[in-house]
Amino acid sequence: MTAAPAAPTRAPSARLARISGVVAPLTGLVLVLVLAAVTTPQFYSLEVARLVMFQIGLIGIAALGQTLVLLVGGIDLSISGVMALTSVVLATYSAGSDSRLLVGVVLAVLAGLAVGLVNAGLVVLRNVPPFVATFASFVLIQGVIIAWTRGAPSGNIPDALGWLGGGRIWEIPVPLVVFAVLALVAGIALGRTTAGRRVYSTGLNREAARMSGIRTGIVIASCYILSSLAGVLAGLINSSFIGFVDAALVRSLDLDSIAAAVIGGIALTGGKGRISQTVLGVVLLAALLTWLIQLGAGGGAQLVVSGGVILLAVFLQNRGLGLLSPRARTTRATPRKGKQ
Amino acid sequence: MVPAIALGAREVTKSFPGVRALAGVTFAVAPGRVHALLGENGAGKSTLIKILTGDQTPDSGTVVVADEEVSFGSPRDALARGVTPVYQELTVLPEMTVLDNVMMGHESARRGVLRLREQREHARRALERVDLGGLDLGTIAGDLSLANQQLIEIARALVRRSNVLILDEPSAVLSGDKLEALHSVVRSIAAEGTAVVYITHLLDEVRLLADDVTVLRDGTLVSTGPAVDYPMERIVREMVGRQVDSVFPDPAPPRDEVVLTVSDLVPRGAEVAPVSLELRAGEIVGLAGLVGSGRSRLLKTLAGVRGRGEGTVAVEGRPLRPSLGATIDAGVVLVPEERKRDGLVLDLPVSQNCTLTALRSISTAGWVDGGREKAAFAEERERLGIRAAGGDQLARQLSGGNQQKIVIAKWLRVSPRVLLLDEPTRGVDVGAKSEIYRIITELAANGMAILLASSELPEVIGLSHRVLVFKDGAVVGDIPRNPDAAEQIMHLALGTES
Repeated sequence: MTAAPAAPTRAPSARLARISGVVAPLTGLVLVLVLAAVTTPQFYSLEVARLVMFQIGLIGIAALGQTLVLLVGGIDLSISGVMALTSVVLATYSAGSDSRLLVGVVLAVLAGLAVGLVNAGLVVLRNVPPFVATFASFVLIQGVIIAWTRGAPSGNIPDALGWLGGGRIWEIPVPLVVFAVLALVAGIALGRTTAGRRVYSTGLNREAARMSGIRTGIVIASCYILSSLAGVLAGLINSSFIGFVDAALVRSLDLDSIAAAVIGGIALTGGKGRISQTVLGVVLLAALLTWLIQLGAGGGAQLVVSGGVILLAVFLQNRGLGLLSPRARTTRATPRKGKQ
Repeated sequence: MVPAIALGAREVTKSFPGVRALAGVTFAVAPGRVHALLGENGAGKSTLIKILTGDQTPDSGTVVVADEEVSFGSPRDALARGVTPVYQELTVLPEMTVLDNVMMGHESARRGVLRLREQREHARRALERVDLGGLDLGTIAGDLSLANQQLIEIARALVRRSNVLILDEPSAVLSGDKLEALHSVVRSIAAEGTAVVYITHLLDEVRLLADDVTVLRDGTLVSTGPAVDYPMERIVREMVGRQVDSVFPDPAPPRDEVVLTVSDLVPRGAEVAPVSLELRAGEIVGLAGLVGSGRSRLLKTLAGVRGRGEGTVAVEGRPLRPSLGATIDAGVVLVPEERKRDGLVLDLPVSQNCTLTALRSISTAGWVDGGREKAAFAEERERLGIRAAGGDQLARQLSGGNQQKIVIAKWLRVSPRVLLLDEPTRGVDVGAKSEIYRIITELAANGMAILLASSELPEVIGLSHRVLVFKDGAVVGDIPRNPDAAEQIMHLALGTES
């Protein structure tokens, strides 16, 4: 008799889960690239490639923060609010002058931190559902911006920051480089550190993690704060790229970041998914959006396609999970301590 | 034509992974009679009820309704046949009116629009039958007393023209004259020809109310017959059974040093008598009592999972702050009752579950050392005999017994002084049970102090140096090790001092 007599078939099923998680987004990416080659040959020009790379960087940074929040079972709808706030704060306090750039950046970071703390406080201390808490933050920020700027935000971004959004390192846009570095750091932190362990166990079973002595409140709060800081960074990149403030120009990066993570295979229920999956989702989404623009599709069509892709991704995700591990949903914990 | 059997089971068998919940149970309830269903916690009563009400399907055997063999696909099927359960947990919606609650799920309507007058008449008639005729239909249900909410539940069942009413421990929330009112309602319902299955832990109710009695133990039927043949002693004896089991290793004598001192402890939000106890190193103290008697609540409070209302806890003479972190640091840890919900992260590998409590010990500056993690798991696997394909197998995929060992292992990583075990062998198969017994005995022999709460009397008696009996949150007995203490404990727990 061989060793481990009752060895269940773990290895194949785990590998299958891993593969099935990647197959769908990879297929999607190949499909987009092929369709782009056929319908819009100019997609493969250097110019468009740079656009795709910029998009990957911008969406990707927000998606990293979003992934952290999703992993602890939350959702952050305030990222684009933070981005808008960042550009307004930056323009107002630096007034387009390079010498005051640092002041503007520091204040923008502090503003982002404040939003992150509010989100974390609402979710952790008051048990407000994350959807409601972060959406309320978003609306609040919008209101503050409109009241503060009398509805017409304006101003210039210091030129010195231009490098962050528009610069290149060996033809590679700086935002992509920043994203790549952050993705690497996040990937390692989640996979190899105790902090990562705490994030996954909190997202998978908050009650068991808490009763094992993990301070789940601090874990969750950290993720919201990091997500807001990612929003600040994305805001700096975006505003330095366009060079002036126009709150209306801030794209709906909340949706894009959620879409990228979900397409990559991060579960909305928390605790499942890796940073590499988010990266794949980001690349797919950026390629898809750019291709749609090349096709001449308007904003409406872009939203329709994004929405459709998210639905498809969630559908595939649920089926995949359903096939691999029939999830008998465990009953919720007591209402007060229940998972968000 | 009145059927001979209103509701019955024929040779019903049901197994869950690792546990045989019911084995060939046959019983019958006659129309117009109150049938008491008795048994210890875990004897199979709930499973039987779930099968009779279509909530679960039997592995083999059939359910009989009105002399006909039926197979229920869902609770809806059972309701359609006139079999209506009233569960222990109240399902009254507190925000809605009495009328809406009584008619819930059975509204009379035309094209989706409620026919209010008809609704009112039906509800009024049902309420009269449960002696709530004077109640305003517009009253918000949440404003009613628990006793009246219970009656609302029964009225809801009556609206459905039930032929069989199943009452799952209605006496758990009622007492005194409320209980008497309930009894008279039950009697009058039975007198109208409805069969009533009545589950209770209060053996007095059997004498007062029951026409027939069925006793279950360990998933099998012990006996069934008219209530007059069942004096209290017989019921207790049959519920407990012979239980001098040899699977329990004799525990080593405890040491003198007191590890845990609990003084006048009252769990937060509980209105119960304060509990005081001392636990010595190497001592196993069993906590016996019915479900809801306060054992779990005490363990959770000691573990810092639940807040303290009053009282103090000290570990080796040092007072303990009532926080989860401080409690774990002091070496007091809980293996919780709800293993899957509170004990494990099911979708993490077993090795990661094992080190969840001691992440610092397997890391350097926050960096997880895979080698040390493997070694930690290997050590526990060896010590506890955990059967897993490997450290990276998901906890979800293990059997109940091995999952429980993982939860114990995770706490052994922090070298606790006091181990609190809540139902450590629930949902665990027989083989793994005796291994867990061995582990508990060995840990105690090595000086760990152990508090063990279990609904299985033989287990508590067989493992412990002494047994504390709980009733309504208070300790009503402290019984030294004695293999024949089962009936004495049962009487104390039930409050039927013989």
